Amino acid sequence: MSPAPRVGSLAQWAAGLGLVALAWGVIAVTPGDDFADQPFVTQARIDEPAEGRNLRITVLDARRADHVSDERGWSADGTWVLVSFEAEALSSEKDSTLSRALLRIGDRAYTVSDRPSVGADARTHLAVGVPKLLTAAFEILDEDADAQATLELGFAKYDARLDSEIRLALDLAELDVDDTAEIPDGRWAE
Amino acid sequence: MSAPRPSWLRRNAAALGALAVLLPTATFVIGAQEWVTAEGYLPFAAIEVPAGDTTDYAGTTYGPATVRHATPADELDVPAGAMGLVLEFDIAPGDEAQLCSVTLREAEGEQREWLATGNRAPCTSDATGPYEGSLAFVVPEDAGPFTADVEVSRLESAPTMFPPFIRFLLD
Repeated sequence: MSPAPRVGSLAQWAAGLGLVALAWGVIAVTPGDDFADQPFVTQARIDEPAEGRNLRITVLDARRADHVSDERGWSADGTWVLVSFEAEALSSEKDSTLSRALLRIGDRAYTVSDRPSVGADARTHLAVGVPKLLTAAFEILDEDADAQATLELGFAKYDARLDSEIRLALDLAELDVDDTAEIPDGRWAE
Repeated sequence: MSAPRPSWLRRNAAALGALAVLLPTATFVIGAQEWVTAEGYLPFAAIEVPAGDTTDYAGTTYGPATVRHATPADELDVPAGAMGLVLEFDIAPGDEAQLCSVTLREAEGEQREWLATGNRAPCTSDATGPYEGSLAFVVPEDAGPFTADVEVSRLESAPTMFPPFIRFLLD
């Protein structure tokens, strides 16, 4: 056996390091396990209809309130975010309940509050071709009152994989703050 | 000297031929299995019933079915741009108790489908004589013409795979 020739060893080192860097790059760009079955996201904007599978949402308004009430006499203080929107199904009323209504702030995911009366709950059955006017009411922590939030709307209650999801970015600090606000019952849109 | 060795393709002709058969077969069998698991238990074959007609299914007579516009007496909450419809159909039960679900469906185009408003069950399992089922729907004004699809369930005599359903054609 003869020692490796001096010539070429530099090139070998370079090739080796290059391959290590390439491997690092491959690892860096490899998507996570849940990449292949993540939801199909539609980014919504205020007053513009956003469509997903069997779902059309038009967010009309988002505001904050320190005191809320519903049409049946319930009321509560707190830090509330109210998002009103029109929603309809497009093709089928089977499984067309808007079960997923989340407000994500950082690592927290707030669901629609269960405290108001059932009639005011935005997680309701959507009709095909006949929009409803709904209000999603989220009760959030005081420290989240000025945060960047993302509203998520869809049919999947637990498993949102591979289904449509309507998302809306909200800067809570920019929302109007009402002293008191009413959460209207869900109803047909005008 | 032996004859020149045949080419690789020739030597492996049998195996390649088998692959050409087995790969498509495996694809088909696995695909069919997945399809049956996903679709095989959903209502599959329509028993089409012309307007005004009846059909017998597992001893029970269904039909005729008619659809009409809702009147104020139906007390339906219908917004502007939509219309209220009332589906009425006769059922003459046989020996076996039957439950059913009804979907109002567009016969053409997008074939959008609606479920009845309210919680009224269209079929009852404790009727002893013929009765009339009635369901109300709220649909957009541009919808139609319709069929009414009736899925009969909880039947001991019904097949679990590829269950048939009754499709009333409506005027």
